[in-house]
Amino acid sequence: MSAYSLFLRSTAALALVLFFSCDMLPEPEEIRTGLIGSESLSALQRRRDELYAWAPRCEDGTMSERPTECVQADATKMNGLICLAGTLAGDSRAENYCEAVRRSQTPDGRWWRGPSLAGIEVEDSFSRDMMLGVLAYMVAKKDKAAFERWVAWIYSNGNRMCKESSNNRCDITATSWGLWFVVMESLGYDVEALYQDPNIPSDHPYKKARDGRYSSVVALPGKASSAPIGFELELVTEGIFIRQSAGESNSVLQQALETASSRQPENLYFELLAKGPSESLVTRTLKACPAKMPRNPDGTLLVFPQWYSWLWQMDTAHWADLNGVTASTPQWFTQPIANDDGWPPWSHVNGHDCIYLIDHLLHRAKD
Amino acid sequence: MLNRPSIAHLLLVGLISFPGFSAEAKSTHRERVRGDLALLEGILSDSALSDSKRSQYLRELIPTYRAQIRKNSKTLGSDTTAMAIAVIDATEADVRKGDLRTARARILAWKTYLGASK
Repeated sequence: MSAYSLFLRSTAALALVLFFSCDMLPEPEEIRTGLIGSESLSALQRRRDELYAWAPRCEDGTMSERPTECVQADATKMNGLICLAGTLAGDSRAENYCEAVRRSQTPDGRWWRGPSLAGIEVEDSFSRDMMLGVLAYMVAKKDKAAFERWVAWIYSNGNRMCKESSNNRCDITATSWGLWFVVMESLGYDVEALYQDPNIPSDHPYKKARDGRYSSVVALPGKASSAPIGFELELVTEGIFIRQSAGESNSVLQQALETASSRQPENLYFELLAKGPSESLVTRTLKACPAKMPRNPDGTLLVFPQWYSWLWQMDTAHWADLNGVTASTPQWFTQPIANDDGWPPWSHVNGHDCIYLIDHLLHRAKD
Repeated sequence: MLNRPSIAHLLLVGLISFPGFSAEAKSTHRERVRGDLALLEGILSDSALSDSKRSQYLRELIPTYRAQIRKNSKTLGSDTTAMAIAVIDATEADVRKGDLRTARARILAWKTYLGASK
């Protein structure tokens, strides 16, 4: 067969396939947006093992945010997100994080900041950050019974997620309700049917979730543009990760991720979400995430602000200011600052944040 | 309304858009396009939303779609990119005129053309 004939036949076949339907093209088993070689995959798996060995934990085995004491101020958020990322990556150790989310709920259905804080009534006992952890856990574990109990408690509490708060952190905003909608669909709820049900009050979470369905996603690019760099921008990206894990895919989510990554290009997590895995990202991840717990030169444990609680929510400039240094390089996360004090470049990870990133990398690089 | 493309047109699209790009990239993009169309159609069909709210959402979304289509033009192919931009521009004009019915019909036609409808 001549080259010209082969060309004509190939072209005709392509045209026919296109004509009938794009859906008739064979679907790859897994969507990959980048490639990682087997050596890099092995290196990431080894580093994750090392991180599991040193990431700080409380006496009961659940995660602590600091090595010097059991701190679980934001644990439900972190536990839920790692539960989801680890489950997607197929790592059975993620169950420890899932279990910690479960144990952060009391029998009345209310959720708290961490297992060691469950049932302790204080101001700001919960927040929308923690809500992300619960929703991530729901996507991972499909724990509909726990979700029902939570919904009942929230509704009985005037649609607020805690009793006393210093600001609106326990209110569920329109954007948050929209995320609920996506998560509820992934749990198998027919939200449209619930919305039409005249026996369900109009202010019930089921109907509020449906109300936020479109407004929440439309708002995402703007939020990614305007949210201050730091935990607020990171929360936007975490919401998108949960949406994608629940099955949502569209250009709005992608645009928002690209915006977040362009605003803080040194943030490895944002880069992974926006661009997918790459060998370069693996190299920088291995630099940012140490094999052993970072310590002071004299061997003592680090304390805040040298010890940070979740690297991907770091306001780089603010952190540098706290440490009396200047952050200006785009590779700051992995090649930070002239360390006059002898701080190692990765002294601001807490271990769990790195487990989270590596879970993401391994999941997205799966064959 | 969008006309059904000719075989010659599809030959050109096939030539331009398929060789040289991975199945992964095409699959990812196809998922996204399906999601985009579902979102646009959902907004245009949602009886719980007022016309002004639907118009507002579309006005906010359309620049994002346009930007993403342009960014993915290598994967899409130049012909498909041009067609997609034309649909988006026309839909934007419909929305500006307040003609949401035509906007919805246009999106449905594009969805059918892309084979995204189940």
